[in-house]
Amino acid sequence: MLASLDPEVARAALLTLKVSGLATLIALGLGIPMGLWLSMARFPGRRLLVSLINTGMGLPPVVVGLFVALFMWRTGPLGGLHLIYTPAAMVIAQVIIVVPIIAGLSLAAFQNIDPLAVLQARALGASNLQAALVLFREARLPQLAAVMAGFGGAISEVGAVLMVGGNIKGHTRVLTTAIVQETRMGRFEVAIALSLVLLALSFAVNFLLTSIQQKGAKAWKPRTWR
Amino acid sequence: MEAAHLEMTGIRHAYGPVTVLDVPRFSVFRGECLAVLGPNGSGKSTLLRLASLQERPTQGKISYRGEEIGRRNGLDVRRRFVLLLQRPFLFAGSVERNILYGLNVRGTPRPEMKRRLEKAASLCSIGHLLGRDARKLSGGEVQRINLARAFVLEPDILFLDEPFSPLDAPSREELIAELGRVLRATGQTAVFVTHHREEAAYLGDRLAVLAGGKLLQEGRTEEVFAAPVDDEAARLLGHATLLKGIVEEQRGDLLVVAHGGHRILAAGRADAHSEVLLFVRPEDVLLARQRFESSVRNWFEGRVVEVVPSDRFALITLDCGFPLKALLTKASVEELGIRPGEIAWAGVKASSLRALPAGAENGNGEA
Repeated sequence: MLASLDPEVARAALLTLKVSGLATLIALGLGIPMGLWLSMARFPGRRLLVSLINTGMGLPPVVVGLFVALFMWRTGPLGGLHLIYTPAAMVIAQVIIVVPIIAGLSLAAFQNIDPLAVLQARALGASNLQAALVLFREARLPQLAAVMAGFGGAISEVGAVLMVGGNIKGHTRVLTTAIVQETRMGRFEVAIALSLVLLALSFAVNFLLTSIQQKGAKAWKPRTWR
Repeated sequence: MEAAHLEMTGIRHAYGPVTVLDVPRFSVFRGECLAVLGPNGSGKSTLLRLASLQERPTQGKISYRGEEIGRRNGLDVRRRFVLLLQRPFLFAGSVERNILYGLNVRGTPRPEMKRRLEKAASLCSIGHLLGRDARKLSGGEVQRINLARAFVLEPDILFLDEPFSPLDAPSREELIAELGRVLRATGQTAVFVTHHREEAAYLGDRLAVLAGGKLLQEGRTEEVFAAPVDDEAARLLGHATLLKGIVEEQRGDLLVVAHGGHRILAAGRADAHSEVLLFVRPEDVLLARQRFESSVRNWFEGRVVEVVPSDRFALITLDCGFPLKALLTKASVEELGIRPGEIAWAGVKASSLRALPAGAENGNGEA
């Protein structure tokens, strides 16, 4: 089945990449500015907000799934958009799961950069926005770790996509939901094959990101006695 | 008098409830190198950050070429200045990228960037470093890159925050000489803060003395060094021996001051019977085994209390009924056989002894 690449498997794999990839991209667009802002701004309630984001990094996907489903349900506040059981609903659920991961890890990455970087940029004439971009550039390697963690959280998640996507064959079935389905039906060899595809996809994406991150990073090992 | 290039008036700056700077007026003139001398915590870095528009003062006005700085023109004027930080931060990437950073944020056209890069690289002798990773440089190289990063912007005013303090002595001397050469060659307007008197004396056309967030004195460098306005300024400017005496009479430009049985001649003006403080710089004190005929008007006999050697000199403390410090070369100390416990004579010319009214208030008196 793997060797011949069953069209059903290929479709699920492609949808998995699309949904989790898009969700990660959207979450990056929201999470990185949020982390950047939280690393620079000081306001009452900041600590509470950071604690909420850190809690959100471990948000149970089924809880997200439940609330997204409630909103998108035909009778829910966003029911008129007819998004329930569509890939769009799955992307929305995954964005909610991934944003806190990206924001939390970005915040940690930005806070690790020497605060002098911003002062230095301003001292050379940077506007406040240009100075913030310096922070972003200086933190780009740890940022990639945030991307990997975010994408990993999205692609491996099953609870939320199952609840808001519904695992409709050929429409909203992704690798994780397919694995659940096959296991339930006792077709373990298919479930194992799907798991291998999922692992391979996850590895390929992470290998690509790791290669970018580690490019030019040379090990520096001092001569020591022991 | 020429109008100030940059003028700060009524400046007060506070962090929370603590006022760190209170300066009624501070001016920078075109083409000058202004040194701000002050001890750690005197507010000199804060003054520099405010003057270079990096921070907005809690109170007060800043104008540049007669135009008041506000939100509207703040960034534009700030981009005519450069502040060199005490601890420079080099951005990840090549030396070239670091030097071009300031031009990049200003949106300078490529050919102009190239021309300026070449000029700055040759001015700071760093052409061979351009391709190097900015994070793999020695301390001296980092400071050179830092200077090049500033000169490439051809700023109207260059602000330097103790640019040499992280360096070892030889690199420091070399860079100070180099900076002096570049400043003079380019006619660059510069303001730099330091707690090193020698740096201030070497580089500063004008000198401002700052302590406790207040400007004690401001004027031509040599005049400020020669005539501190009060005891605090005198100490900061290296005038070591301070003693209190009562004025007996004024004789022309000189005062006759009584102190513990001595009648001392000093430069200054004060009313008879008033109390004055006397200062002398240790390098202006002459030491001898015997008093001899000369133009020196004040002689004090004392016992050597302490001899503190440094690289080429030794600082000798004499107990003459008051502590008197003298700076001699080590060779002279050897030759004269000056050791703790020995008796020696100290001679001080009346013109080297400065008298200031005791309890002088800190102010902004012109030197």
